[in-house]
Amino acid sequence: MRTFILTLILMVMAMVSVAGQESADAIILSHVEEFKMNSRTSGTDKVHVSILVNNKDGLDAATFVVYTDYFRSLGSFGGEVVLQGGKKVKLSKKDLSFVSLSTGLADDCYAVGYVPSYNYPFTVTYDYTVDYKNGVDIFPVFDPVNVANVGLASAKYSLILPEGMKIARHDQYLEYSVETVKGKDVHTWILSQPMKPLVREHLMKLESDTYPLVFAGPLEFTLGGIEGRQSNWEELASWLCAIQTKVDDLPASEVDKVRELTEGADSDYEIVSRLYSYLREKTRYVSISLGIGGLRPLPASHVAKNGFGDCKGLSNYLKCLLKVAGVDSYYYVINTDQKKFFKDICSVSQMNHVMLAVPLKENKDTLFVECTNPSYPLGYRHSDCAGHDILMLDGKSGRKVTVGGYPDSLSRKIREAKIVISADGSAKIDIKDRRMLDYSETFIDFGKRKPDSQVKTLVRDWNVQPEDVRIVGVKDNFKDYLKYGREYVPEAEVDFSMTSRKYANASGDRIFFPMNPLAVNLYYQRSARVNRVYLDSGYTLAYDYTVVLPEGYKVENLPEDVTVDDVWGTFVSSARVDESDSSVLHVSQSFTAKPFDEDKSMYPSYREFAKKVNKAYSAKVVLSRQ
Amino acid sequence: MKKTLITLLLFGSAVFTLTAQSIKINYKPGSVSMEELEMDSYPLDTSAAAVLLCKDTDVKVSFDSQLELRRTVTVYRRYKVLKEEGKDCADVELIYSADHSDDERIYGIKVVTYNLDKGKKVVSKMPSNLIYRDSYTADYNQVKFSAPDVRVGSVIEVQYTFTTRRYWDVGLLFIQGNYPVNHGSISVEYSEYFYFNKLTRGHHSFTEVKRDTSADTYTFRGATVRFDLFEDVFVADDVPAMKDEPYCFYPDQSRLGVEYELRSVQIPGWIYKNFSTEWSDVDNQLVEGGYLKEFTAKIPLKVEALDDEVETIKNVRASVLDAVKWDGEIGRWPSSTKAFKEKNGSAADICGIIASKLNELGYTSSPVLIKSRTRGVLASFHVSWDSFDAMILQIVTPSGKVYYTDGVRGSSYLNVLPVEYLIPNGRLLSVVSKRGSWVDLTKLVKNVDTFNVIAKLDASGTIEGECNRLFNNESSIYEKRKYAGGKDEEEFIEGLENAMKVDISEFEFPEHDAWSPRASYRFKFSTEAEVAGDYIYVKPFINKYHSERDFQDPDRRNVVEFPFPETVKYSYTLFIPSEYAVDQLPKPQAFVFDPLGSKVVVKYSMAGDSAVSVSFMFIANEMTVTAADYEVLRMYWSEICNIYNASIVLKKK
Repeated sequence: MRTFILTLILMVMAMVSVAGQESADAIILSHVEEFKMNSRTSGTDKVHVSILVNNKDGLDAATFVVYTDYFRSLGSFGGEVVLQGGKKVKLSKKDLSFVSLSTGLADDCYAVGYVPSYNYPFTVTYDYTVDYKNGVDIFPVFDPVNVANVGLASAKYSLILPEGMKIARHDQYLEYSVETVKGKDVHTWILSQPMKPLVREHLMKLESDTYPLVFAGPLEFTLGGIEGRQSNWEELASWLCAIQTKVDDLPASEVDKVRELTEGADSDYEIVSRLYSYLREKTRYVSISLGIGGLRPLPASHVAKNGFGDCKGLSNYLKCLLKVAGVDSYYYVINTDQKKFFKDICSVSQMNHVMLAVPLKENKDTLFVECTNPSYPLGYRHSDCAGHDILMLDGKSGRKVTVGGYPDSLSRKIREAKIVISADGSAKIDIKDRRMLDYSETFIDFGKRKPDSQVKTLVRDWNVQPEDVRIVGVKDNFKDYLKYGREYVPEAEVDFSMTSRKYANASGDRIFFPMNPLAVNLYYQRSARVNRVYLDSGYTLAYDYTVVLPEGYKVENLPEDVTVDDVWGTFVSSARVDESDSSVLHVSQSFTAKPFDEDKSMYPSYREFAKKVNKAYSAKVVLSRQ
Repeated sequence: MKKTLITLLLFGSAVFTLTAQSIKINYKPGSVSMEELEMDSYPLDTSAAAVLLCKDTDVKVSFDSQLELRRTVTVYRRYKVLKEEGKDCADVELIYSADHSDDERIYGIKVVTYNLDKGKKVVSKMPSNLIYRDSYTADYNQVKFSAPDVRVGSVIEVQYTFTTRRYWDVGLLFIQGNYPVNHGSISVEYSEYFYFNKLTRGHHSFTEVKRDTSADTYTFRGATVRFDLFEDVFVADDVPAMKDEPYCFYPDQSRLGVEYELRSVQIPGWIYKNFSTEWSDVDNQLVEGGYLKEFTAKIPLKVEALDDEVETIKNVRASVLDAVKWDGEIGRWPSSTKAFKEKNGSAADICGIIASKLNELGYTSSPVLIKSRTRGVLASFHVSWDSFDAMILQIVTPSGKVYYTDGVRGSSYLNVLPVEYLIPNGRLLSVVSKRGSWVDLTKLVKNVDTFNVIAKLDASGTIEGECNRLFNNESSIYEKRKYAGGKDEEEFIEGLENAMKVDISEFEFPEHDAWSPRASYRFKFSTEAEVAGDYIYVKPFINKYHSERDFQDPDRRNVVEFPFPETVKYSYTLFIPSEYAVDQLPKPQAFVFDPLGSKVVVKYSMAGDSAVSVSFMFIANEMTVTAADYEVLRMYWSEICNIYNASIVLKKK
């Protein structure tokens, strides 16, 4: 009875504290987590979490998942589901299932999980422990809520560490305190007030910046049997170098191959270019990630022998090839999802990828080389790399640097087309698409792709149905780095032709067709804006069409010119009958998005802007029979 | 074992055509030629990222050394990598049962890569330490391996053997897959004691089908027993890669392969085991196994009969769903009592409980077993409980009315079933007679989508109006699901606004979550017509029911499957400003397409001087169109889509 009353009180308290969150799919009523460091290489994470699930969309938040690997395993597990009317269902380990998470050839990652299935609403509570072993370089990451439309009523995270143990921490939306109790340092983070659910919208900042988070680790650690320090990036780099023992064992046959391939090369760039081509021909991405292998590359001999590896293995392999040829390079770690490292903690757990930096002294430049896809143009800093912080290793230590970004003005798509319309509304269309910088990425290896995949790349989301699409020619400057050096910007151009049976609509004595059915409309949401309106970087889309009218028709209506210039971007649209040939029409439209970070109250203005642009795209040209 | 070739037979249903693989190869493992290494594209499909030069699958159902029956599958694949994307064929992941009673194993894994290096053949063998074996889940194990030294141009050989005690489960064996196949073969070897039903399938044909017969012996209780050994061989050359096609519930229906279903095993003095041969056998097995008891179980749930029969059914269903949560699983064999106790169950469990309560109230509710359209057509040869993957209920009321229901889905209703259940041959197993019979579920109701628009245009080109849309029966399911599946009502309205290119206000979708055969919404809208000089151009179709994107591909392999027969009615009335007159109305049109039992009619007319009226109707009475009629269907579709582009032209008086 006492238990029942206590449960009832807790439930009522939770309900009171989450008032205003009635529309949430789920509410984390309580998340209490305590990690106790048992030794330098082991610890126990004790978790109590209770979730009120209001509907099926809230199930994600209530699904129990623990990821296990060489460093983590599930200890105890128990739980309880409280149904409508108060009936309780006990949970134990036998309710759990596991599944391999391996995406590569081999790793030791599993997910242990449980998905509750009961009529809504219900409350589920989990009590479990996770055992940490074989080293702790980062404490369990505390992110009690990380899905949209889920509220958080209360949260508390504690680290119980040996007295005097120094840590680094990054935390957000939580209050921190520390005290020493019975010879242990107890670090505590508490949510000071309930959090409303995050609403997911377009044009918003990274979601991860909006959730409560504790990301903390010891300044001294042992992982995979190797001691390290991470009070600054240099120390962490030293540890990363230390674990890379015996990985540069290139076989003699490969050494000979490198010499053969680089014979007569007259610059470092030429050597890099030849060996990068060799990497492309010889290797492919396959991951083997067992134990510390998640952080240490496979030996170069493995990649040489089998022709595969993951980002670490392939980067290390190319580094070894370059070394044989006398070119220095730097293995570096990066987070491809987030540009900046946390300022207050240095940890390899922030990273998810490895690449290779190759300084070119004669060009006063550095190449940032993507080894998992050696088709990327040399000299191009791809979209998951440009502007990102990286930790660059020099063999003994390393340093944090930031890869250079590009100005928005270089991010452009330009479409030129000649459209010949027939009296029945069909059209023959010749298009030249030029794409620069990140837009050119879709044309990397374009010629090697299957025809249907090529067509999908070219004609996605148009407002006209393309038929009989034929690629006429593809040009790019992907191997032209030397021409431009530091100023190099990748650019691709594709000429293609197509027909459309219904480009225009012939009705009676008239023909109607839209100004720009080859453009993709701007999206805008109908509902009231909740978040700030944010765009990280700008871009330009330009369209220039020559339209040949069917014989015997003249222009009856041309849409009016449009010029819009505001905080969201600029848009210009015009249509003109050719001065020397009345059967030819010139349509020109250009949209430039500006980066912005505006209050949600500005969203109606964005919506109006998008409507104006979309209306100009679909505005009708009307022809009438002469 | 001694093996003597006795006869060579062609199967009666076999298709034999005189074609041969376009790339001549020696099929023997290891016999990779220089020509294979030098080829840089597959002439029959230059877009192919890889081609299977050889794809052999040998199945053997026989005794092992312990005289245990086993099925052993030996696989040989020879790939040619032609493009970067084709390197994926070098990564192999095999999942198999971890159940000890199945005793499944994969062994004999051998992977070799051949490359050309300066005109010489270089052979790279996969070391055994690159074979990774692990648990996949509690019920399955996995083995993974990757071929070494793979490049564009490589030829890769993959061999392995899989063995299991599940000897009966030969199932579906395909030659056709994601890559084109230069030469493929399937052989199935079994003794005379095994009786299989066999069915070949596919749009493409086998080039050769034959049966080899040989003799073999085994020793049983000291005696040597001689028996005949059969080997069915299916060969196909130049098989194109599979491709996705829209309006197709089960693409594998046209995939080249062969299906084996064990009918019986009769080993003299040892094993006599009959699997189903007639559907009535399946019925009897189910009845004898206690299947029907789950539909007349004693469930401690109070539900009362109401005056109205339909209301009673609704009441029973609602009460059951209040008490038991549908876990999202489908199921065929209910555990009614257990599910009720656990407050959680599959669709079958919940149907079992609903039927039990209805039968208690004097209704007759029986299970109907279904092979969903997403799993293909129910083959008459495949006489087995395993043919079915779902179950619904037939309900006969005290007054004799008959209804069908899936029980669980909020968007469905009585006689309004999920589209994947609209099949011509559901197997009804009566709780009264204990006998089975076939029921046609394709046309239980008439499905109608009615859309009425009344709008007013002003001289500035602004159109404001009101829409009322009513969906009946199957037509209502999609809208209800879409509404329920969205984040909120605003998202649903946003979808309508984007599709119709209008601004919507005062939207109402009453009873969107009611268990009923209807869905209806209404809203006010505004949009802009094109205004230019003395003219205003109005597009009268704010909603389009067909798209040219539906059938982009000029070719078709699979039957075109529509979700359900449907009638669409659209009417649009536009009041025009007094200072304008109609300058041009689109012409009325009508088209017919018999294979779909379809016609479309559109009419435009003046309603006095002040209004224009448009009436559109589309009817499709059938649910399928054969690949042979596909070209005409495309043309028909195109004409319909053209109707939606029509414009009304008004001119200032």
